[in-house]
Amino acid sequence: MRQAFVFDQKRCTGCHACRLACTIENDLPLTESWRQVVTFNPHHEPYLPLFHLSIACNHCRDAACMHACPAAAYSRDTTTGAVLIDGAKCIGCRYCTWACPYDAPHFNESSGVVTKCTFCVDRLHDGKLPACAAYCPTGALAVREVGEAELTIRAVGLPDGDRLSPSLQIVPWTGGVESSVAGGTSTPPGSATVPSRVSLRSEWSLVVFTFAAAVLVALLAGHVVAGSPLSLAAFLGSAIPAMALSAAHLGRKERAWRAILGIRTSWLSREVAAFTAFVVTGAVAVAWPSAPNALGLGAVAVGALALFAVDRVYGVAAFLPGARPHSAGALVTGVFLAGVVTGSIAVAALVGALKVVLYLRRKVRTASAWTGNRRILSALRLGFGIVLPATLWTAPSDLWGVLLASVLAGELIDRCEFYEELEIPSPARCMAADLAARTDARTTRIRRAA
Amino acid sequence: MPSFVTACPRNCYSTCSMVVDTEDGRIRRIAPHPDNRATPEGVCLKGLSYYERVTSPDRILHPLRRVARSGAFERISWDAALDLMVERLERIRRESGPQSVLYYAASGTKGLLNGVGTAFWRMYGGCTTTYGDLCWPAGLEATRLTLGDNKHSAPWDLANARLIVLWGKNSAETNVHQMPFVEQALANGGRLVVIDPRRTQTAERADLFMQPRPGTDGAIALAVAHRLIAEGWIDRAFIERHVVGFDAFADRVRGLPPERAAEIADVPVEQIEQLAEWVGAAASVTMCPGFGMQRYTNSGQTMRSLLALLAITGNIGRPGAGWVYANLQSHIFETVKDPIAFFPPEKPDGVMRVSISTARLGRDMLAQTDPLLRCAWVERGNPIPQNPETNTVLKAFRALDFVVVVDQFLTDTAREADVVLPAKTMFEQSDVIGAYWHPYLQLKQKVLDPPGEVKPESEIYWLLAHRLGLDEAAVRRSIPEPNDTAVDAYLAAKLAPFEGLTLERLREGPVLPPGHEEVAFADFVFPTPSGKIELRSREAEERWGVDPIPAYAEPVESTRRPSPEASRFPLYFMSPNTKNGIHSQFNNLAMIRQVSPGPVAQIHPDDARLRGITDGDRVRIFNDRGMLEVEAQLDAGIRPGCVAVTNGWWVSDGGAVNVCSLGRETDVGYGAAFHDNLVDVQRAE
Repeated sequence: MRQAFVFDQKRCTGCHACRLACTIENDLPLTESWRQVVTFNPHHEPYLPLFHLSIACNHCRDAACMHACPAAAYSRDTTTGAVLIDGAKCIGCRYCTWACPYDAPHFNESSGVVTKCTFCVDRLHDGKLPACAAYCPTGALAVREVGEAELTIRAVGLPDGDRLSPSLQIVPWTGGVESSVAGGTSTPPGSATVPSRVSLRSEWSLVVFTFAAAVLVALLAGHVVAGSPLSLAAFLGSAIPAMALSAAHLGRKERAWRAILGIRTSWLSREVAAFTAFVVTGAVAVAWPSAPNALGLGAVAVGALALFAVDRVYGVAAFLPGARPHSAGALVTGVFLAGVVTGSIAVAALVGALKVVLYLRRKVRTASAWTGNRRILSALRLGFGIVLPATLWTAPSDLWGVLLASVLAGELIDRCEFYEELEIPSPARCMAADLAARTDARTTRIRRAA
Repeated sequence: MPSFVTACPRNCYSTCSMVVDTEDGRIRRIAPHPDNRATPEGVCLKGLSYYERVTSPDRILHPLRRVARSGAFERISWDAALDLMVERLERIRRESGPQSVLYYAASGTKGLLNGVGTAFWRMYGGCTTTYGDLCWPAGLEATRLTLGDNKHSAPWDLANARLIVLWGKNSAETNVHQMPFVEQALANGGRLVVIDPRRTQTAERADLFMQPRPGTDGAIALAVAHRLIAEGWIDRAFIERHVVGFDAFADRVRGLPPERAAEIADVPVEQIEQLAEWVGAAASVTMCPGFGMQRYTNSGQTMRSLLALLAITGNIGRPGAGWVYANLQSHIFETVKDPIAFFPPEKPDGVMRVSISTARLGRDMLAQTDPLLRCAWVERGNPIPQNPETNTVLKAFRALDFVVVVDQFLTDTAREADVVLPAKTMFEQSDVIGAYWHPYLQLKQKVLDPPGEVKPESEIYWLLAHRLGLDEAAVRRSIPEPNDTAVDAYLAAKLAPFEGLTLERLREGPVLPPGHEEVAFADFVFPTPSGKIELRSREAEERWGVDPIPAYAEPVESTRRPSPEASRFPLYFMSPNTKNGIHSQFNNLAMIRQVSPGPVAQIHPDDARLRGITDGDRVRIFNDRGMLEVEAQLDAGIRPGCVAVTNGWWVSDGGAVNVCSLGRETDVGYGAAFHDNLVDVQRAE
């Protein structure tokens, strides 16, 4: 048994009183709220029901936000089970806003930290219900003790949530009115578009950091394994700005040091820790030519670990169909570049081929959405990244710089695509996707029948 | 943090009881009051948005005077405002007589203190006022003609219904507190029928959902009656005891079989038959007609036709059965109840000239002679976007010499004023209010001092009366002195005749009115001329000139009437209410705008495709009376041939729906038939 939100989709009329009640109770700016109401089928597609999902933080037993937080800013109220964030500890990295599939934590631009539903812990301690549930005019939203077995969270709009053990019970409504609605012959009136929360434009600093990390690991590998030239100035001159850039997007940069406090559970903390260790050991290896080879190899291994952590950080995101594993993953890119830098044709060819396969798989799966520009971009990515380097591989060594630049250009295009295409799951996106899938299925059925 | 019991005074079914906490001169929290059995769970989003409304930066906090010609307003002192008003009111009265002043008060706020306005204008020497009402008179009058009185069973009795017919009512949006009772009835095995051209939120819960052509509901009702009578699914004992005119009614409906009504209303005949079967078989039927359906030119007869279904099946006066339209059981202070109170007096008293139909406000204002209208005083209303024929109303206001508007915000009407006076909110003066869905009397308690230089209307009238040198004793008799004690005494005097009804008791929570009937008409006393339910009404014929037996006639504006207009304007323009506002109130608040950012036109994809319109396009909705430009929202749930924009948007939002409607009365009751409204839509270039 635990305190849980119980939401009856039949009774919810989508009135938004819960959202406003939250704003008022928590003294938030007038148009901000920790609760949102998402509507399925807002354009009234015939043969599909319309219903709402009122959702805030579900105070999960296995809270994704808490695991993801690199700064140990999250805690749990022991009596109510509420998951709380401490604004004085949050560094504003926003990683929890990616990790939570319920879109519960919200980054506040003015304070530079994340805020979220507190389960109205003070009200609960006083024996009152949270404001959203207390003020729901139809009794659709309640908070009460629910047995573990009754915590059902399979509902439209809930992306893969049950693994987190949310304190949420949904009484789903699949609708009954659809069969009597007029206008069934019409074409779909329009898709519910949900604005993307992640884009190349918003995340460019992370593109630079993650790409630089892969390049640096490869360069160090080349230096250690093949003796390719790498100066300390060049190494630190790229590594330190890259780290600084990765800290630039923090809401509270002065608390950046907290980013390793979550190392027990947070891949972001592990990434920060591993990359820092890589830079330190790598710098020692570069600065100390007579250092044992093991130190250099160790640094490369730590770097590879950092790249693995980078990839795991993005494990919370959603990718296009066929995009996982991703051809622009940090580790696979690091290994590929290392193969190129060390001149290892086996590694470069093998991993390069893997990248081409992964890239093409993704492109084929999403072919219907291709536009002209995307096709040109794909040609450039493969041309620069694979075809040109392959033809230059046996060319005179004075073209080696051209070859490397070409490889990097191709890889950078792919890494940019990675950010442009990745999405953060949320109830709104999940509902829109479900609606699109059901509408498409119906259109296809009608077309087949005709 | 101090807590106060109060109640929302808006023109809304729910009239919620509230417990508000205040802090530092503002509303901190708005909780429901559990003793109101109709609204125990929580107020709606509009009620919660008072949190913003009271302290909104847009609120008018001091008198304003319009700077000649420029249209801008400048702040003036109360002294200057009162001097200006006294000078103008005295001059106009001297030159043209007091009846050249129009006193226009609408439904913005309920309360006994509203009576102060009429008392003041009487003392001024009289004025011109309106008759009729925008909202609900056709239905009220149809109910009065049929049942003799406008009352219904307590809201919670709906849970006992085995069949609920929400006929043209979108409870989920306009009376959200009715939905828990609908849910209870459904959980008990009851059925829900929703009849609405739009697939509303309420329709999602329906077992049967019909989408008739607007204005044809009467035909459906008569066809259902045809079927009920033909199949013998009627209550003969009840009819014999309590109904007059059954035989004539049965003759009438013989000519309207379901097939014919299906053709008129353009719904599947099976749906009409299904409805008849359910009405005939259900142990108890509650019918909840909406207000929108009775704003057509044929509405009185429509509502009488619907009522007849309950009468012939004996679904009146029993738990779970009845007609839930208007419950005036809490209207204990009025000597003349609605709808009679809306009628112009049979013998004018020579003081108040009741000569302007609310439905035809603009036209009638312009048509007044002897004396011409020169001045208007507007309070609790925003007639420019809300009354039919916005452009004519605007013209009529602009033809006046002097306009005073009392309001909280610079509405479309306030923008036309020469003087704008800052109005109180519901939290800034106590008053006693009734309701029209639940039966409770409530105290709308003062919990905050008015901010800035805001003065309640009663205080404005008090000051004005003294400056005008009106008879001191008369003023003291009808206007409370401007302080809380005097206001409480004014209210206490109104409550005094009623046993057990005191301000102290009302401060604790809602109170049922004396003689409350939990199940209305359970005594089967129908105060009609015959003492029975009248399917045949002589008064309908004599007073209104309509058929004494309910009959169906096409609305005046109908796509099926052969006329040049019907071919040029092929779409029914619907202007329903929304959960996000009460008429033209609330939609200016940020908390509401986040839910409803601006006016949109719901249009069916088939109609949109014909006109090259895609979702999100700017579109023009127009007829010969006017045009508005809004964003199109393709909606496969609206009946093809209809376009809908919720009413309440201001002219300044570009969404004032009444630019297209015509000032025209309903067949009975002096209501406004602004839903007879054909338009076309085109993509804005």
